[in-house]
Amino acid sequence: MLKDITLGQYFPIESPVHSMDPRIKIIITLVFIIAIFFIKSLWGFVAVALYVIFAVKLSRVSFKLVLKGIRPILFLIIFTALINLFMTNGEIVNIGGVPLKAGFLKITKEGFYSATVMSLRLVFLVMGTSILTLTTSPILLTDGVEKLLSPFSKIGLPAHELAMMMTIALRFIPTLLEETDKIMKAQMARGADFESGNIINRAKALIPILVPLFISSFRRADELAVAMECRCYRGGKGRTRLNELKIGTRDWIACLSMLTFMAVIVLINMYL
Amino acid sequence: MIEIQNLTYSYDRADDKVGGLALNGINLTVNDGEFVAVLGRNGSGKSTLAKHINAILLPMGGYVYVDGMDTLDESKTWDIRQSAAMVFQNPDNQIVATIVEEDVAFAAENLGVPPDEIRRRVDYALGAVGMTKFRKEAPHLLSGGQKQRIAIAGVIAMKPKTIVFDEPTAMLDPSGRKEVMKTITELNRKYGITIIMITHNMDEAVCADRVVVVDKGRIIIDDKPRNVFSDVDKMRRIGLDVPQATQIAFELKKAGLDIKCDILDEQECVEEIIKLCR
Amino acid sequence: MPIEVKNLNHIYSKGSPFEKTALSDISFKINDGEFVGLIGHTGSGKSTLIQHLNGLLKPDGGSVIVDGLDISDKTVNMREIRSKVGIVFQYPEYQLFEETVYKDIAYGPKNLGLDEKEIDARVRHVAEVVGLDEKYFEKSPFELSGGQKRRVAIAGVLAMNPKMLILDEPAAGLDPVGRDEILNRIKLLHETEGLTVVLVSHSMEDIARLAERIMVMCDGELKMFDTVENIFSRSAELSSMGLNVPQACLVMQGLKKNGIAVDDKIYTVEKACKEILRYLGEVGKC
Repeated sequence: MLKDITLGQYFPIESPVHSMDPRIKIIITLVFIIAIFFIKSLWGFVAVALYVIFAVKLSRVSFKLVLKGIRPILFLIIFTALINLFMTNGEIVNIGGVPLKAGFLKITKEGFYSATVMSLRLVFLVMGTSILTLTTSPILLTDGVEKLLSPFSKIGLPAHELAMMMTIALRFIPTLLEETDKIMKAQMARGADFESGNIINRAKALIPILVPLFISSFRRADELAVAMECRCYRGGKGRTRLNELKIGTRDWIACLSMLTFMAVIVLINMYL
Repeated sequence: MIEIQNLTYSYDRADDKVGGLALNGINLTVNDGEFVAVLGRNGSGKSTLAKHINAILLPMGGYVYVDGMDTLDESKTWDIRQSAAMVFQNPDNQIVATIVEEDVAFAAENLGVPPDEIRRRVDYALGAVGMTKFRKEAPHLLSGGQKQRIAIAGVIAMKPKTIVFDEPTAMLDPSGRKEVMKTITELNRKYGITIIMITHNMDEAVCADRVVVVDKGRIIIDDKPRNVFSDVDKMRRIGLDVPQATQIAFELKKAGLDIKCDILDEQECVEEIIKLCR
Repeated sequence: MPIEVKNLNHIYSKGSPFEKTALSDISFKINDGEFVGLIGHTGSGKSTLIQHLNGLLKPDGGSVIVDGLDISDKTVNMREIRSKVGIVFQYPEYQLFEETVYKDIAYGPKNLGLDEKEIDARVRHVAEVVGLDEKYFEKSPFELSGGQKRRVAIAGVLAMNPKMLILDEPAAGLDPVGRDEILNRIKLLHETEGLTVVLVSHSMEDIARLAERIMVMCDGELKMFDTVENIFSRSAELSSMGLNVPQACLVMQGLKKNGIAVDDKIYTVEKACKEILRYLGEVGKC
């Protein structure tokens, strides 16, 4: 049933990584992503791999789960690798005196290298963000983003409003999915067919689902707005939180580990 | 205390002809600690009345005072909403957060209550509706009755004196209805919260101390449930149900038997009929 | 047109950690022209069951035979099944989408590929059946009142010209007058056109007033399928499943328990009064 879907991929267990402040986790993830784009040598990736393994172990999430995030973009990774492999100019590789070249496709040393680097970058990018989303509940993630963006509210960035929108979206996605399922069934009971016909007919067949769905979403939005006002909601000003975000020792240690990691990367880039 | 004086309201502002009035001269006083059911057909004006108590709608004529505060005074709006909270029909459309506890905290957060006090209020509110063990759950996985209790906890966290319920059980199944009615009754009896409950369900109105029947924008009956339901003919004319036990007694009386009509449940009905047999 | 269900099983999210048996080993037969009440608490499997009757869900075991056609059979045209068995879901007004009432009612017959003339005849007929005046035809369904929207939605299903109509809580959210109007229309349709009806409801009073036989579902199983009086006479078993019986039944059963020799299989106010008067006359009290 649609009701059972889990949102995001938050994996609710307890671990040192789970209990970190979401702001620090977001910052570390961002720094990590930037770092992997600066890495040029394979030794750098060894350091990255070690750091990721360390983080996954600490988070007590299984590797399988972390790697699962790669599946949806596997095609993209392979595609990028192939493009890099065949299209990069440079010294053409010879195997047994036969140059690996056919028409405009060729395999070069440089191509081989950049294909590896690009795929590794993408893989580690996904793994890094997966660790963040697996260990941080959507609520904390939203809170973290809100707090990180709040300095920008002085220049007109609606940080609180964006976070509230995200929270409400997360809250209503399961409700709307369930509703879509209901409407679809009701229209199918009236003989609607969503599976056959050409693309135009199929798009047309969606109207009987989309119109009621929009109307009901507007109705819900309207009712929710009134209910929120009844609970004295007047924007982010003067609001307190049940769970205030707190940066603790654990978070400082994590920052320190990140700095060490950065230092290692810089050294590798300079000397290896 | 809620005081409503000669309240008039119309949804079409353009022409205020008498036929278009949703509320037409309502006078009602609800004292602290009372449990009042407002009964009426769809379109009778009962929901419009409820929305005035919370300053969602403002009077076009007359006044509404919540604890002495005039709802027309905009500087008091938030105090009024805190003092007289409101729970709506569809629990899905009033829950804001993705975790029960966070949702219950929402109103207290809006009021700027300090975090440790919010924690106390959340625990208290969840306890009052009997949902403490669900505090970490996702609301969309709960049953309708449970969701509605969460919505109730969400307003209790504001520590209101009065809660206005706008058809709180209309979208629930019988077990959900029972849960929510039990919670509402307990809030009144045990926690001393004043209850104003809008409904068209007579079974629920029976739980109240006082039933106010609204028809075509006017209050036409204001009495104890027992007296209200015993006038079966009048209730039918208005288009409302009465309990079957009351109906049986009423029909028997019409057939010429000497039986009391002001009964509410099957037990009383059986006792009365046994009296006839002796 | 009979419907026969044999050893029906249904499992949700099969093979996932959320796997849940929704229906287990259900068998029954509904005859032509019957009015069946379907009761059971939320999550008992009622809505899963009704979705099998027009092929919106497919059995994981067992079979559903509609008018001789097996819904699991790949060669069976689903539109044909759905035109034979109409379902009005809870709060059906939320499925309205067309610009006008007329077009919305015509959506079903259009999907069946009928010609304009036939569609027009059907729309006019079903509008009359649900008590919807033709003056509403060119209005937007979203401008109507709640009760009228519901009529349009029910008309939209009736326009498929089903031989069996399944209604899931058709009176939910309506006040007593609105409820009686809708239910009386359905009753009339059942009586005049011989439509087979399955009414899913939490209101035992409504079921008692309308149904001829009652199905009782609990935990994915069909616990009882019997006449109304036989079902309501088992009030203790029903209450163990979280279900109640009409108050009139409770009054009669209470009287019987107190040694008053009345028929305790009575379930409507009307009959209860008659029976009590009969008894009092017999013992010479009136």
